[in-house]
Amino acid sequence: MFRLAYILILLVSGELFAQELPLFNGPEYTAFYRDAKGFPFYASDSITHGQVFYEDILYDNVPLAFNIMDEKVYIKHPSLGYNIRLLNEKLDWFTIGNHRFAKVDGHFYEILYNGHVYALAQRIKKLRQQFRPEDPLVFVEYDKYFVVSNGQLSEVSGPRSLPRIFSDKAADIKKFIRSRNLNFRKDPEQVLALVSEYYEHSRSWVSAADTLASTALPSLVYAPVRKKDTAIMARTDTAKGMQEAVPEENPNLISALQENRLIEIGHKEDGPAKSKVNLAGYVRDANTGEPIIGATISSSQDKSGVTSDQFGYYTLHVPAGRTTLKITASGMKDTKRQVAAYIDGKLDINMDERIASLKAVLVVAEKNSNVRSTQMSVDKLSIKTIKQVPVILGEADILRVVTSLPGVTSAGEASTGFNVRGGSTDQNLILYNEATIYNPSHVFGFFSAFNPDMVKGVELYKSAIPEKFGGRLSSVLDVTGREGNNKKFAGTGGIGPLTSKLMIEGPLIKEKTTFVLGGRTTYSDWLLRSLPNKDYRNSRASFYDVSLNVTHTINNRNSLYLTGYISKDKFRLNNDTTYSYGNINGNLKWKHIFNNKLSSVFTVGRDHYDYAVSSQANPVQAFNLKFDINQTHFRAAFSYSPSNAHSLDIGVNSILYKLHPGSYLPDDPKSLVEPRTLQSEQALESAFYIGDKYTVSPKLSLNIGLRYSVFNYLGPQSVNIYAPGVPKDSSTIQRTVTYEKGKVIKTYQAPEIRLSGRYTTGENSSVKLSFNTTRQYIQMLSNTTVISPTDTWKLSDQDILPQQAMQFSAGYYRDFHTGAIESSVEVYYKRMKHVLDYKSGAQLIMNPHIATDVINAKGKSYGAEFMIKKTTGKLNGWVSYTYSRTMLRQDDALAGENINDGAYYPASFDKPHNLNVIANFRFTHRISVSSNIVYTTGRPITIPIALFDLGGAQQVYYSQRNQYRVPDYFRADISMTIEGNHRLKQKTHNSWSFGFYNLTARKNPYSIYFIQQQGIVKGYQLSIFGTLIPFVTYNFRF
Amino acid sequence: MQRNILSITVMLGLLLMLAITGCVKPFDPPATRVNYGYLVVDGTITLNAPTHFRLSHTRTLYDTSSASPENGAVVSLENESGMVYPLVADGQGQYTDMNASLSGGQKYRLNIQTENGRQYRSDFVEPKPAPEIDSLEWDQDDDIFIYVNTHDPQNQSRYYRWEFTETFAVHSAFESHLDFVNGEVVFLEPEQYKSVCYHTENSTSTIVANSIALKDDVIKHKLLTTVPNDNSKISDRYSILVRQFVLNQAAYQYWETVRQNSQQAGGIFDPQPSQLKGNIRCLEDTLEPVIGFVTAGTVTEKRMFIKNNELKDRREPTSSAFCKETLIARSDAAEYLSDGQYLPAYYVTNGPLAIAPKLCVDCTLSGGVTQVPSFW
Repeated sequence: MFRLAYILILLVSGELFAQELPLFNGPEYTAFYRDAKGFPFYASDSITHGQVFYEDILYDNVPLAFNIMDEKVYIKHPSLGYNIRLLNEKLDWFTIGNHRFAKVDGHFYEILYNGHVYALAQRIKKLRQQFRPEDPLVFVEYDKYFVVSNGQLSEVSGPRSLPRIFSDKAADIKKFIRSRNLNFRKDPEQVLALVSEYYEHSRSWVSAADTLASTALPSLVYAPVRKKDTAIMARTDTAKGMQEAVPEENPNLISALQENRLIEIGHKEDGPAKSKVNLAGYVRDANTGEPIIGATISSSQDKSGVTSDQFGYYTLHVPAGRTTLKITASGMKDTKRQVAAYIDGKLDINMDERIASLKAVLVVAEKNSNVRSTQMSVDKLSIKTIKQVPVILGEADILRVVTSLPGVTSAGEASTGFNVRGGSTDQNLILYNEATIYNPSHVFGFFSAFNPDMVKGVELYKSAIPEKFGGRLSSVLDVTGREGNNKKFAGTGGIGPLTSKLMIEGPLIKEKTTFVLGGRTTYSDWLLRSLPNKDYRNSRASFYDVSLNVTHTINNRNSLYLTGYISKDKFRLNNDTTYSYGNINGNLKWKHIFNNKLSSVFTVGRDHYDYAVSSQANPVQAFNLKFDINQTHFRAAFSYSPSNAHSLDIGVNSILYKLHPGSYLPDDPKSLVEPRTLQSEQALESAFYIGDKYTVSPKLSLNIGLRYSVFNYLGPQSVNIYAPGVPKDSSTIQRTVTYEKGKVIKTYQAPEIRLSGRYTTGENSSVKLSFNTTRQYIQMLSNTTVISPTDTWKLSDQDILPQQAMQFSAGYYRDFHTGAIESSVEVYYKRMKHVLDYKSGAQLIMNPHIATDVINAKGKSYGAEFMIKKTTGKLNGWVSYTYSRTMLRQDDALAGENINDGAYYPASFDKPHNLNVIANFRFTHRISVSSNIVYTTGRPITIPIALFDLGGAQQVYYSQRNQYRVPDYFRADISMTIEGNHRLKQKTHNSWSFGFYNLTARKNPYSIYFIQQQGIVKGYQLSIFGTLIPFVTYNFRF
Repeated sequence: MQRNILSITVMLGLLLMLAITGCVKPFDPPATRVNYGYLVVDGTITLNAPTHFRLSHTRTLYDTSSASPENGAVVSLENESGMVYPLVADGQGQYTDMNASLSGGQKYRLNIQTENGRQYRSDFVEPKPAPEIDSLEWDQDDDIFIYVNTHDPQNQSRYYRWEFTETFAVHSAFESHLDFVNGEVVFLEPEQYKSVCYHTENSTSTIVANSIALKDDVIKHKLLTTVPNDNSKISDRYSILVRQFVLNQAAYQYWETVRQNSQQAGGIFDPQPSQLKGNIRCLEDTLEPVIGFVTAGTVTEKRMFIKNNELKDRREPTSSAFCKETLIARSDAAEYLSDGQYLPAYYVTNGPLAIAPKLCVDCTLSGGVTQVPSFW
């Protein structure tokens, strides 16, 4: 039976999906009433075609017949001859020709009129014995009429029933019937429809929900409706009203209803038929109203899909007429929409969160986003994934998870800076809702400065960086903040041994304005106070971060997004030197939709980063050192989708920099510190970009992008002119030229090319290629391995050239088990120019002529990245392995010194082998276990190779730069999360996570250093977390 | 001054890591047993005192010998007008200009021809006069800290380097007037007593400072050295002679690099260890590393004394606990003392002989001399 039914499906309707088998699982129908005269069916005894809404699924064009006698619907395939009876309890409504039947209280009625009230007809057939017993039985047919109003089903037995049922307008209705000369006995169906319509318009209705709530007949509400007055903008798909109508216990019903309801946009008869129409709208989380980024929307007719942007907005071109949209997004349940679109329209889509099920996990082919996505070398992580990875101190850490991705390395465990495909730590553009975060770490890298409760997800672009991004060489880490719940207030909190956090969210104006506000702070002072060493006991460390996202929907076409972010760190060492640093960012975005094809986003914002170091220990030398970066940015981005084959991104962006490279001021009246302030630096970085996502064929798609960036280094500034042809040195400054405010000192400009392409090589595999060039006009001056709080940034100027890079990468992607397992191999080759390296003993802080201390270097890096990812099931996670090399070489004839005699040397973050395993296993809904395994080659170091005596002391002579390596790194962690019970009605939901960090207690070297003490050189290896560390965290949600 | 910021950052980093569960263990660098034997040139062309240069070679990390001197070299100074001043070898790698009358108005360079015939030459360097040391001071917070203060009224000096020599008196645990000679216990003449010794130690760390960030060329309270409270250096009287040099910026950078490489390199917040780039080159192979930076100038000196009764909470060196006398019959002296491990300490009046481990009796065995220094 199953097999036959399966074949049936294929024959009956090409639109039915494999999982929609139940329609044909009903009892087989065998006999007709052969001896009776007439037929038991509605209208005719031949099979007609209609729609069936069965088990919450809509089937179109089903050959069926409605047996009025026993009130059953039969479906049939003529060639196979099987007739199947549908079960009434699973059947909500169906159509036969233009007649629509819906189930009310277990009986099927034809809908004569629908609005806030319904007029229904019950078709009845009965077998009657003829006068003589030997005569055949005959079918007698008659109708009963009903009205549904105020949730009541009332029979209309005669003309007097109507004023009685519509009692509040009884007089008006009598008058209406009289004036129109309506005769119920003669044409009951027309009279019923007209009177219902009259009643409908004679009174006011509060809202749609108003009726629905009172109807209590859900199947009626969702029955197909043919409206004569279809608006230009068609009805939207929001769940508004439905939730009230459907008992809360059954959210599945809501989504099933949404998925199977036919959404008509425009009408067949509306004007000339277009072959293609355009749909646009927002994809949102049904539960919280938050936009879903990166959701794929595709139509059943042409498989080409589009993805929703950072606001959840999408534009899709579909063939006019009936189509099924498939919508998939990571972490969300796949959904679909039945659309009959005849004109351009707006269609918002709500998706439900995917709840991991212990039963057979449904695996669907749409998941193979990696194979299908036209983007290359992009890693997307949802916050859910991030939170599953066990981390030290139980605090989910975004950057820590990012470093477990292929092609990403970090210098050590307590360092937040990361290196992408051989780029240095300053070559990553870190964006939080488009705000540039210069220092993404707390406490020197122990924590990343992003509150996981405020983050929706991250995307890391390693190559094929979209043309809208620029200004950094290696990567873009796009952290997207959450939008608040627009339906109700909610919050989460967490308490760990060192930090606590709290997040609240909710609507300010329901469905229009939402906010989400989150903060974290530390109380690690107790830990410092308890240290045995008295030098540390007076030390203080504190940090906090606060972020706020507000979303305001002005109307269908305009929305505003406000992002605010502050992070601050303060550290004082033993009542002596105080370090502090922080980011302050704010921006406002305005998204404007011109029409379905064209939309725009305008952003203005300001980013600020500063640090300060001060010391009062010795009054004579008391000082206060300060540094800050300010950037004001403006962006205008337009998306234009003339067709599904082309999606254009055009925009301009502009950043005005103002840097205060340093001020060094006395911090005590007795201080002899000479106040010094370096001249401020200012520059304007502007770019114009245009990119086209071009779907050449379903197999081949191209991303063609061009970015033209212009950098103007601006006055006021006194510029040192160095003698040409000799090493730059403070003694070779020939003269100083002063530029006025706003005067252009130096301009750099160049096109940046961003190309990538995808070719689908099979159902489950594709090949991608990309080539791109990038430029960077602001660089961090750092000759330490990791980001340190005193790293200053420097704009490119007349002496320091913009960094340039060019990368070629190729990848092969293949999915197994219909997308349950994704695999990929990517290789890349990259060259960099004008990378900064430093002269020996370079002074980077408070240096008025930094050009004399830097060396221009060239870099090359290459590697291969392998990844296998299982996205679904009880066991999920990924394994990634990367082989990569990064080499630098001095490229500066005038450096005055020659690092490693001008040969290539490994960059300090060159770690050839990198293996990461992240695995999560869910035992039950409440208990899950996660583990994390990391192996990397040790990073290169320069070590002492010889001893000598100088100045009365034994000294060490170092090897050439980075010729040796620290021991390899290996670590395994495990954590277990136990959720409180899942009852919905609780005030708070709790979860405990506990686990072990560094299970094998391996003493991984964080740092190797050599110290000369009393004339003896000793080498030491410092391990942080060099032991098994247990941790517990408590999280709550309200 | 700004350099301190980074170095403190290092400590910060360390602190935080330790604060959680940091752990430090010794690390033996991968075997680098190749003996490079690069030439090391250590010294200063001094105008107001004899010029000393010490030539040696680098040795492997595992070579515990104190030096591998270059003995057979021909070394000379040369001024810009071509005048050559040969230096005299002492056979220990030390080369001294005994009687040169170098003047401040000339630039000098150093020429070396090593025993194996390779030629080395420094750049010409301009002598830098050193201002007087204003004062030396010390204070105590359990341990004793010794500081230098100096200034240059002309604001010309800016970059300073110091060396120092510590001299201190050490008393043996027993003030013995006895000795064991030819199998007999004998009384010593007072000038033969070995109960008070004078030790002399040279500084073993690189001490540099600059006043670049200050308005005036003032160095105040620059820490030179720390003497631990229980160190025998201050068991009686302690003296420190500080020598002050002035450097040019390049030389300062060199010494600073040496200091950083030796004292703090390798930490993750640290700069990369830097390659030393001195001002001496091998004429045959300019890429051959030569260690050392030749500078010239005058040297100024200052001496300070600290008496142990000026100190508070002085703790005894732990070693004194091991100095316990043993009483033996006078007649058994030969039996106990002949193996040389013990020495006679004193006679108990009309009683036995007290003997003690020899280190507790003869202070010269710990490296001191009994000769009272001239400045004492």
